[in-house]
Amino acid sequence: MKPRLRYLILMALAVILPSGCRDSSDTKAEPPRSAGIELAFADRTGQSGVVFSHRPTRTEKKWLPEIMGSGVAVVDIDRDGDADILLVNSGAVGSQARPSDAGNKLFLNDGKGGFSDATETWGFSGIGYGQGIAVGDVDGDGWPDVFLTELNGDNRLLRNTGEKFEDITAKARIPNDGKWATSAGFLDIDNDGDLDLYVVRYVIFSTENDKAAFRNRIQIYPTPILFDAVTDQILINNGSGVFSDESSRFGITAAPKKGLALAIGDIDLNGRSDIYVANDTEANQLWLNEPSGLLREICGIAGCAYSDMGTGEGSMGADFSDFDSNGRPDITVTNFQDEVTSIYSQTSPLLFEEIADRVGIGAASRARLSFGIDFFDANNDGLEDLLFVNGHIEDNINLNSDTVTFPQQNSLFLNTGDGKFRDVSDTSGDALKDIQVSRGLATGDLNGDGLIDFVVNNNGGTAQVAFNTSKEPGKFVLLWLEGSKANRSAIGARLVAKIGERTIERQVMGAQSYLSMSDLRVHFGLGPAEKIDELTIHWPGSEKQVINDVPGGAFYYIREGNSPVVFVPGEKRIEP
Amino acid sequence: MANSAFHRFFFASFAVIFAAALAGGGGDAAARDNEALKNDAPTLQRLEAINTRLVSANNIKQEDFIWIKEIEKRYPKAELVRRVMRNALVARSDWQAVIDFLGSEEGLARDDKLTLAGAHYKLGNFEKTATLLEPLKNSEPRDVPALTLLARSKYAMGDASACIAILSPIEGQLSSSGTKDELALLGLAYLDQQNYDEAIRVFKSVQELDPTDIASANGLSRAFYAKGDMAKADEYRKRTEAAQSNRASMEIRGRNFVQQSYRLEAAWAGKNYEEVVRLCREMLTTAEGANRQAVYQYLVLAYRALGRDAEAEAAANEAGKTAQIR
Repeated sequence: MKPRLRYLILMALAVILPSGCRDSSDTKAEPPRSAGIELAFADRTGQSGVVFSHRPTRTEKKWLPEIMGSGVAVVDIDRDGDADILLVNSGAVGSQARPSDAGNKLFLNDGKGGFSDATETWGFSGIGYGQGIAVGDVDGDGWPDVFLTELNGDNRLLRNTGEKFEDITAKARIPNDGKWATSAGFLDIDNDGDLDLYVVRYVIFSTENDKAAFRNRIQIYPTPILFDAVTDQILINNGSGVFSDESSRFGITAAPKKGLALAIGDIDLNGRSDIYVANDTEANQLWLNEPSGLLREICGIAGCAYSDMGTGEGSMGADFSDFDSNGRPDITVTNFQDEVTSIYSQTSPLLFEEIADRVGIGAASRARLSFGIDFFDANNDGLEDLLFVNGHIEDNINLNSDTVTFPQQNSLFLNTGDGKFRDVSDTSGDALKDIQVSRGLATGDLNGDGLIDFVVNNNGGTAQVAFNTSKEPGKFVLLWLEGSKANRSAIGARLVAKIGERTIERQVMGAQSYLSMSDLRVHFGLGPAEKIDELTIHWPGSEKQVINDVPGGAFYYIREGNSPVVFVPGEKRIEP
Repeated sequence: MANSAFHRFFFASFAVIFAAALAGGGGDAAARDNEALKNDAPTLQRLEAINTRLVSANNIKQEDFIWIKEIEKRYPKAELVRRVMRNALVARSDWQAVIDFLGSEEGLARDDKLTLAGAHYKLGNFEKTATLLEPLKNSEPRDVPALTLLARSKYAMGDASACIAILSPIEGQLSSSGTKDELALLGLAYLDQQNYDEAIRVFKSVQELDPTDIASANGLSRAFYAKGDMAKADEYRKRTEAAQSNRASMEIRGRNFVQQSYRLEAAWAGKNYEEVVRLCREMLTTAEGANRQAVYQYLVLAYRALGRDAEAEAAANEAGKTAQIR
């Protein structure tokens, strides 16, 4: 129920200014304060049925991929209305065959947060050194398909038949030039009703060109600075599930970067999905998807590429959210130890300012090295809270520091409603006390209670399943959208909910976090309200649809142009 | 503050501190430990060697760090031991350990206080940093390192006005001493206040000092973009990217040189002089300054060890010419 990109404004105060001009009269709407609802997450890994160990096969060579981890997706694979879990494993660098205990895993949900291993039945195996996962319905048949990225570019497109996965990589003409792919995400870049694909790529790595790095004469996992960058890919769907590499046409190949993560959402609210790429030690990129059909990169000039001092940072994970309720989506990026998790606030249209220290994220994030990140409304108060997961990249950091550790506590921040956050990591339940080397993070309602839960893929550790047990949360509405003229997964849809005096916006984002994919379904926390008074859905490349009076406390399936249908997670399949 | 900037600032004053430390500190326990250390020549010698490496290469071997911890148990109050331990923790970028080591600010000398403030800054404890530095704000002559760190803390806390109030009076001083990062910070504070013309003026002054400066080029691109001047914004964006690329190349060269140095030391320790010669020749293609002279020393000694005196002589001459040219 991970709506992606959500923001909350008072309509009367929404201000639209021309690009390039700062809004000097930027009066922020006063959002409701979080009504003292404390967050709580319980570690339910043991009871959930999810048994997964990530195998990075760390060696004395300290090959860079060994420390990068892999991703996780929380998505309804079998259309029974609940969120299933797909975990990507790694393997052994230099070996295309996976060790027997390093397979990917698919766990199907019973609707109440009980999971069963369906890996064999569905054929969700993996080859090579696994990295990321993206989910979207590429052929519009109603079954979400899966794209897996791999260290040697042996990426795989798995078609979901409704009963199992079928490898259609060759048939779909997914190119393989042997380069390291990390995160990926589906989006309808040309708003033609089918899903295209953005593949983020990292550095040129092989066991032959490996680089050694040292700190205080101790060999450590190397910095990407020592490696050459690889260009990203844009693969365009011709409408029948066959893709062509049109990266050059979109202008993304001119300056290769060392990409790790991406967030896909409509940052300028023009109805087209934009792309933010987080690049390790280099400038991040914000590709605006313009009405001309071309992409324009503005990150450096707009103030969301670097630290304030113009330094390229770690940039391991990314997400969007209008956390400060000024009506414009902001960008967050996880970074290295001693660097903040950046909060690029969109202070005026397409003008950003990094304010992590000012909003209460700075000190706590400097103390961690962070990867997966997700904004979500953890207590259903209509405000986006923030979770990011942590773990150092030096497995021998103890030799270089008495206070920094390899496994690290994950970080949870409560949005206090005044444009600031409060670190609640130590007071929000035992799930935040599972200290591992965390990498992939995905969120969604796993147990059908209308609260957003999370799953973490830990490097060299066990995956964690955490249920949201926050007490006395507000009501919720959870929406499963399917396009008709718009792409079937509704990626790029923007939803505007009027709730009394409040207006809350959400988007169905094509990607966020690190190597991972959160639930495509849209979650609204209503706070004390009982219903959404008016819900407007802006279907991408299609019409808008207005629905009145949507009662809270329920799950709704909405096919583009049709009325909402109530469903119970896990009760039965909704046939395509 | 970037790691490197902090280390630069920190170690610039190190030699003076080191000399002062040898002269001894206050208190009976300190006096006893200082005296005992003076009479422990091997320990003193090794501390000096570690110090040399800290100052020149900003690194500390693990075995040396463990040894310092042992020495600290033996001479816990000795000023020199405390200085070297403090500096080792800084070289390890272990900021929380620096804070734990220095403890309460009460009774700390100015340099320790500044180090403590710097460690708090690195961890994002800006209010603590500011509290430590406020008393130094009105000192005469102006304590520029303390003022600039205080200004950084104010900026990080979102108080651009306070940042400007601190830096503006010393702008000329910063400019004449080529203190680019702090000038760029002043530009950022103006940018934060949407005073784009002042931001552009300050950023341009940094560019005059160093056309490859990244922070000011990036600031200029943002300021011009905010003013709607896309052409200039794009010009400085390109300049930023070029400077970034140049910095990355330098870092790669530096890291490669460090690795070669380790191999060189290993070859020397193993008396593999042919390998020493090969590595020296390889390193001389990129080595500069003091590093270049050090590599030549290895080369001359390796040739001599191999009995190739003529080549040793020639290498010594090459080294001499390099030194003269420089």
